[in-house]
This record gives sequence, C-alpha cells and structure tokens, in this order.
Amino acid sequence: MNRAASLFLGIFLTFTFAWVGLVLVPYFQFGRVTDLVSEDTGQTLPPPLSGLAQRGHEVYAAQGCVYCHSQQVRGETQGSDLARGWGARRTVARDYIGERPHFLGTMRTGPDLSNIGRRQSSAEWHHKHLYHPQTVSPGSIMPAFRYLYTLRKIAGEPSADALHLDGADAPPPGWEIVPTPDAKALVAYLLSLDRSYALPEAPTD
Amino acid sequence: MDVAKAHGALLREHTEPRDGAAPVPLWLLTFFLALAFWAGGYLFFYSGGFRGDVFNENQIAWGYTPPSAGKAKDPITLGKRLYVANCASCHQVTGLGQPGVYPPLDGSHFVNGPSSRLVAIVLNGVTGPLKVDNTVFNNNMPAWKGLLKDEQIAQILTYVRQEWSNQSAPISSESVAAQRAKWTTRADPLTEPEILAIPTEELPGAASASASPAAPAAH
Amino acid sequence: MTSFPAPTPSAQADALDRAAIDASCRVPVLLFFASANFWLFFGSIFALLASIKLTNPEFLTDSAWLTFGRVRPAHLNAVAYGWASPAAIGVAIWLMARLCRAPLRHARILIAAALLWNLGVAVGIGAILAGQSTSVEWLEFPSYAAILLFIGYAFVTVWALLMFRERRPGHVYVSQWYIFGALFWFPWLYGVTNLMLIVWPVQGSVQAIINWWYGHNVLGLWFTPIAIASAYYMIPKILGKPIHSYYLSILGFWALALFYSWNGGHHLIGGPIPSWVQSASIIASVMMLIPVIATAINFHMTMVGSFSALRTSPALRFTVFGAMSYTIVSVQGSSMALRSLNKITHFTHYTIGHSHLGMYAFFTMTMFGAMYYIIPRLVRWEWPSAFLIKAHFWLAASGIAIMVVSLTVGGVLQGLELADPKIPFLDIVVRTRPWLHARSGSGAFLFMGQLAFLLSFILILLRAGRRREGPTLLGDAASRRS
Ligand code: HEC
Ligand code: HEC
Repeated sequence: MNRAASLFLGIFLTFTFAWVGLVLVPYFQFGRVTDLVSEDTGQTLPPPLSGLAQRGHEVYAAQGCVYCHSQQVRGETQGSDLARGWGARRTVARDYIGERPHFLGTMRTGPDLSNIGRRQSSAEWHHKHLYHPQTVSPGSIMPAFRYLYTLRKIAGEPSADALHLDGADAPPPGWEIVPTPDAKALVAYLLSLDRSYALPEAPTD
Repeated sequence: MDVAKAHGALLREHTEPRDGAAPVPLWLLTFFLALAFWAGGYLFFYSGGFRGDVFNENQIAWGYTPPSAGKAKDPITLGKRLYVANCASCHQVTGLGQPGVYPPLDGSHFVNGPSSRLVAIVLNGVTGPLKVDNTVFNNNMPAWKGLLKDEQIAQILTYVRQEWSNQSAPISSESVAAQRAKWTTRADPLTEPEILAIPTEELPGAASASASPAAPAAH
Repeated sequence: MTSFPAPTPSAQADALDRAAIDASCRVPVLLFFASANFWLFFGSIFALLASIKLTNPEFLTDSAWLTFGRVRPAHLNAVAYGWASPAAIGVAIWLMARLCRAPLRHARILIAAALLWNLGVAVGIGAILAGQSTSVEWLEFPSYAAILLFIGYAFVTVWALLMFRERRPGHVYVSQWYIFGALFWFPWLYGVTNLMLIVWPVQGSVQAIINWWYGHNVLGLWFTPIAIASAYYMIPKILGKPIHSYYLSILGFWALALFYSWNGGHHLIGGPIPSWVQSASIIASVMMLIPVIATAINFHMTMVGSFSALRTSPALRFTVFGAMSYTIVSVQGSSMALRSLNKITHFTHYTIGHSHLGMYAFFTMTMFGAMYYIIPRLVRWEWPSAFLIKAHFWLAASGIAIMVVSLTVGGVLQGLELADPKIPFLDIVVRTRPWLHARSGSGAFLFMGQLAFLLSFILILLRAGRRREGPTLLGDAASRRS
C-alpha cells in the first residue's frame, strides 16, 4: 500500500461509519426520549430528583460508588437480576433521562442499586451501613465512609440525626456522630432510587 | 562517524522489515464467509426490529412480535413476583434469610402466627432484638406502608404463608386495610414487645379469603 | 546466524542513516519512555492499594483521598494515560522515523506534547483523588485536565503528518498504517467523547453507549494498533525475515478498523439500550476473529523456524509473548460478547481478568519488548544486566498468568453463583475473597518485575556497567541478534 490518500480515506471512513452507527443514530433514535405522566397516578415518570438527591448524585460520583455497584436491571433472559429482587422489571433508556453522569456501572462487587430506595427505605440503616458496613452486613467488603460523618460534642440537646451506634463504634459519652451534609445528600439520593413504576416499554407484569 | 564504535547494535541490525507475498489461505476465507452468514442470521433474530424502544432481544424477531405471555392474575403468582421484587433481597428467594442478619420467613412463627401481627410487622417495619426460630436478630426492617398497597401486601403475605414449608391461611386485602387503619399515625418501626402485645384474634376477612383465594379484593 | 557479516559499504551507509535517525529521536522518545515508567510505578502502587482494599476494607479507609472508589480510577488513569499512552507515543515516534527513513524533525513539538500530556495526567489524577472525578469510566479526568491531554496529543498527530511528508519515498509498511490509524482515531475519539459526555453531556443511557464506545475503542483503536505496529516491526526485524504475507496484513488492518470501532455496546449487554445496539456490537465483536486470526497467522508463520531466537533476544521474547496474548485475549473477548456467556461473566471479576490480559499480557509486554530494542539504540549503550531482564520477564509472565487465572476462575464461580438467586449475595462476596487475595499476590509479582525494569532503565540511562561489544542476551549466545 503506497497510496497515502487511500490509506487516510479508509481510516476516516471506517471510523465515521462506527461513529454514525453507534453514536449518532442512537442519539437521534432514543437519546431524546422524554418523561411522561402516568395515567394511573398522575406522577411524572421517571420522577425528577429533588435538589438534595441531586447533590447526593454528585457525592456518589466523587466517592466512586460506581466501581462496585451497577444501576441497571437486566431482563429475564440475561441473568438473575429480577429473580434476586433487584427490581420489579428490567430498566430501559427512559429510566435514566435525568442522570448526568450515568451510573450504569460494570461491576457487581456489591448489589445492584437501581431500586435500593425501595428495598431499603430506612435512612437510619443507610447511615449505619455507610458508617461501618460490616456492622449491618457481616463479611461485607464495602469500605467504610466514616469521613462523611463528624464526631462532635453534644451541645445542649442531642441532634435528631445523630447515629445510634453501639459497640466499638459508639461515641464517647457526651459526644455524638452526625452525618455531614454530603452524607445526608447521599442517603437522600439512595432513597430516591426506585424504578419500580411501570413504563409502556417496560411493564411490571 | 565510525558506526561500529558508535553502536554495535546498528551494524548487527537487519534491514527494515519487508513483506512476503503468501496468499490468504482458502480455509480462512471460507471461515470468514461462514461468520458473515452467522452475523446476518443473528441480526435477523435479535435486532428487535431496530426499534429504539425494544430492549429484550427476543421481543421482536423476524418481523414477528411474540404475544406477551398471558398476564398472570393468579394471586400466588402475583404474590411471588411482588415478594421477589420487594422482600427477596433480604429474606432471599428461599425464604431462609441470611444468618445473623435477616430472619427467615420459612417456618417463622410470625409468618405462620396471627395475621394481625404479621400484617402490622410488614406495615410498620421492625427494629431491635427479635427472636425468630430461637435465634435473636437485632436489625431493622423498613416500613412498607408507604410503598405497597393493601392488595399487594395481601398477595405477598398469602404467597409467603403458603410457600416453602409454610401452610397457613391466606390474608385478604380487607384485613390489611383494617390493620393499616389502626397504624396510620405510627411513624417508627415496631419492637418485639409491641408486636407481642398485638391481640391475636384473626382479622375479619381472613376466613372469607381462604374460601376463595383467587378473589381479588376490591377497594 | 552465529556471526554477522562484516559491514559492506552499503550496510555501512545504512547504519549511518539509522544512527542519524536514532540520534534525532533520542530526546523526545526517552522523555516519553521516562514519564511512562514514572507513571507505571505510581499506577502500580494505586493498583496494589485498590487490590488490598478489596479484601481488607478497613485498610486506609479513613482517608477520603484513598477510598477504593478513588484509588481504583487513579490506578486505571495512571496506567492508561500515564504509562500506556506515553509508551505507545514513544514507540510510535521511533517507528515512524525509522520507517520514513528520515531523521526526526520538529522535536520541539514532541517535547511540548510530552510536557502538556504529563501535566494533564498529573492534574487529572490529583483531581480524582480530591473527589473531582467525572465518574465516567475511562474518562474520569475533569475537563480542565482532559483539554491538556487533548492538545498534547494533537501535537503528536500534527508532528506525525509533518514527519510523513518528509519520508523517503517508497513502500508504506504495515506498521505505519496502524500508527496512522491510531494517531488519527484517538484524538477524534477523545475529543468527541469528552464533548458529548463531560462538556455537554447527552441524555441518559446514550451516555453509556458513548462511554463504552470510547472505553473499547481506546483499547482497540489506540493501544492495540500501536502494539501490533510494534510487533509487525520487531518480529521480522529481529529475525531478519520478511513478514509472512502482505495480503494477511491488509486483511487484518482493514477488518480491525471496520469491526473494532463497533464493539463498544458489548459492555452493556442486557442493559437499558435497545436490543439492536447490543446485537450490532455482539456481531462486531465476533467478527473481530477475522483480523485477529489473520494477524496471528502472519506473526506465527513469520516465527516458524526461528522460535529458538526467543531464548536469547529480550525484545523478541517480550514481543512474542505480547503477540500470543493478543490472540488469546481477542478470542476470549469475542466469546464474552455472546449473550449466553455474557450473562454469567458480566459484572464479575472475569472482566477484570480479561482487561489485564489485554492491557498487560498483550499491550504492556509488547511495549516492554519495544523498549528493550529501542532504548540501547538511543543511548548507545547495551542493557547492563541480563539477570535483571530475565527477572523482569519471569516475574511479569508468572504474575500476569496468576492474575488472569485467579480472576478468571474466581469470576466464573462468582458469575455462576450470582446467576443462582438462591445463593445470598453476601455469601458470594465472602467466597470471592480468596481469589482477590491471589490477585493481590500476583500484583506484587508484576510490581517486582517492573522494579527490575525500572532499575535497568535507570542504569542504562546512566550508562552504567562496562561497555559491552555485543547485545545483552538472555540465553547462551547461540544467536547474537538483539
Ligand atoms: C469495594 C466495593 C464497594 C464500594 C466502593 C461501595 N460499595 Fe456498597 N456494597 C459493597 C458490597 C460488597 C455490598 C454488599 C454487602 C453489604 O451490604 O455491605 C454493598 C452494599 C451496599 C448497599 C446495600 C445494598 C443492599 O442491597 O442491601 C448500599 C446501599 C451500598 N452498598 C451503597 C454504596 C454507596 C452509596 C457507595 C459509595 C459511597 C458504595 N456502596 C461503595 C461494595 C462496595
Ligand atoms: C432491607 C431488608 C428487608 C427487606 C427488603 C424486607 N425485610 Fe423483613 N425483615 C428484615 C429484618 C432485618 C427483619 C428483622 C428485624 C429485627 O431484627 O428487628 C425483618 C423481619 C421480618 C419479619 C418478622 C420476622 C420473621 O422472620 O418472620 C417478617 C414477617 C418480614 N420481615 C416480612 C417481610 C416482607 C413480607 C417483606 C417484603 C415486603 C420484607 N420483610 C422485606 C429485613 C427486610
């Protein structure tokens, strides 16, 4: 091959072909799906994130939760996701329209979190788990996120959101462990994760 | 410059690489044709009609849409589906739970005991020490009131009470509704003493539902 | 092959040409190689930290900067952008100059590129550790770091075009096709994906498609072509034989360009993207068998009859190890894309084993091979110690073998257990741990091997040891080609 021109043209065309096929066509085909309003409940689907949950989305990105947790539920033919109770249905493109960046993930060192807000709706549990995962999930290899909590002296009334910890994690008397704004936002985000509503392209029954 | 002194490696080197002219073997070309044939077939069957809203690979094949599997109306099937989606991540599909963390539902005296207590547990959640099968668990279960409708809780519990080794009477959505009315103002999860203090009489509707388990309650 | 012939006048002239080319490459190429080794060292430290953290979650857990979710992307970015890319650029520059048969000009463009690029990597890794990662896998660098990389890389591409115009006329060898492809594809890819994901992010799961289109192409259209280009040069060069078949070279190159760029969607099988996108990528992944087999035959047939050279030449031994791994990792990759296998291996450590087979056993080993060949020519000094080279090879080869086997077996078991909903998740977590311990151990092997290489690298730059007349060979000098 001595013709530089045909070499460059070929290099250009093969790549353009893939770029159009795998990026532009999907973008125009389903990259602009919109939310919709449920006929049954009048709810907007997918429900938009609250401001606090949106902030929690950023915390999730900064801590790199995505390297251990996926947020996608595969259909019946691809694995046991549904049978494990990770969702009521497979997830589809519309579920993610509000997510920037996306947290689909590629590893399941930990369980899928697409619907964690539904199966674990207790903020208290999430705080305890983030503070010291092994106390609520023995044998877990999830790292502790203690740096998202502060130890402080109780001034007057104990705070309402102080963690109820026991054993070695309990704070010394007169002190309390409270979530930082980051931790609260993160838990608000986790609690918002519930993709169990039905969509036309993904019915729940 | 004396190259040999400069660096022996340069003199030892062979000339820059050249091309040989061996042909592409025939078997290889045949193999590629076979692959291309396979690829065509695969695209034919699994392209979902090239639609942007078809995600299951077998949903549309060959221009043909398989009829969606007959919608299950049988409460046990519905209950199972709801159980898997809501409860199985902790209590497991086997109903055996996770030792030390999540209590079993299979053989549990709460599940097979008075329905008033069982429904209250699921509506409000549980916290603190709880003795199930002679093992004390000390954990939290979140409340389900806000997430599941009466009918759904009834279906789940009916399934749970009749699955694995459990053989107890079904639970109707009226009985769930009756319990829910009693607990509307309750915000925190229940504790074991509170559960045990709930009167054990069977709620209205339990018996009627056992007569016709398939009748979905209207509300 | 026991001794080389006395230099004929024309060989003498050839050698003089080559000496001039090598001298002109010295500064920029060594700059890229040195920075590559620097980042390989730190990238590997991050790797070891991340690996230990996966089995011992309490290890260094109280520091936000060193949490698993930051150390792991710091590792990936340090090795992908700190080590692999500069190594590839260095090899590409030297191969370009050699194959254009013209001394390198405009070295300043390349030096500026190296500085910008490394600055970008340093800023980017700092940003990840500080919690400013974009959390988009393979594109974690925030835009202020990415732009530095992009400009640095654009300089390299511009330089390559200038260089190509100054080539001595004649045949354009297959290595150059791959280098041109790579130097053109990468900046487009990097620019477009950064724009569509970080600067003006598109919506929802289209992001995921673009994300993995990038993630796969950076391997397939950047690292892979450079490593193949290097193997296409080193194998015939060291053996002094022509490459087996020009036609297979053509088939391999164009099939790679056509199919690799469509592979990305196979990272999202079962995910929230339409079935046709997944199926198209699955097909392209399987079609990758075409270029892979064509290239494998080409290398193999060139090697036939000369396998004994593997005993002596370090460059050849590393390169052939890499080339054989390329075949294995690609066939494995094609199989993993099939829905039936993917549903087991997806989301497990099997994938991590696969990526290390690609990035280490194939790419990194090939780059080591190229460096063993190139560096003595640039510094005009032979490698100081055959022992260090041997230690490097055996530690790297056994380390990567242990890593891939443990992650593959561990990953399959993990996948099979995940597929059975009756097995509680936590039990799977606990049972996967021993395999992760094995991975940490294998990582230590790789790290020690790299230290041996780093030591050799520093010693040869210092021109340490006594001056050698012949090459530093591994076995007894039955053959004296280096
Ligand atoms: C090293 C990998 C790892 C990282 C990083 C990680 N996790 Fe986990 N996570 C796990 C594992 C393993 C489990 C399962 C055991 C357990 O419950 O702790 C888990 C469980 C969970 C659960 C409970 C899931 C369930 O189904 O009960 C939540 C919620 C969770 N993680 C949230 C997070 C968040 C939020 C982050 C980031 C701040 C994070 N994880 C980071 C590994 C990880
Ligand atoms: C997030 C995990 C979790 C989920 C999801 C969950 N549970 Fe529980 N459940 C628990 C825990 C933990 C306990 C014990 C609480 C304690 O120790 O105080 C419990 C206790 C129970 C009990 C009483 C103890 C026993 O074993 O009989 C019942 C009944 C029960 N759950 C039913 C359900 C049903 C029905 C669902 C689905 C709607 C469900 N649970 C979903 C965690 C969970």
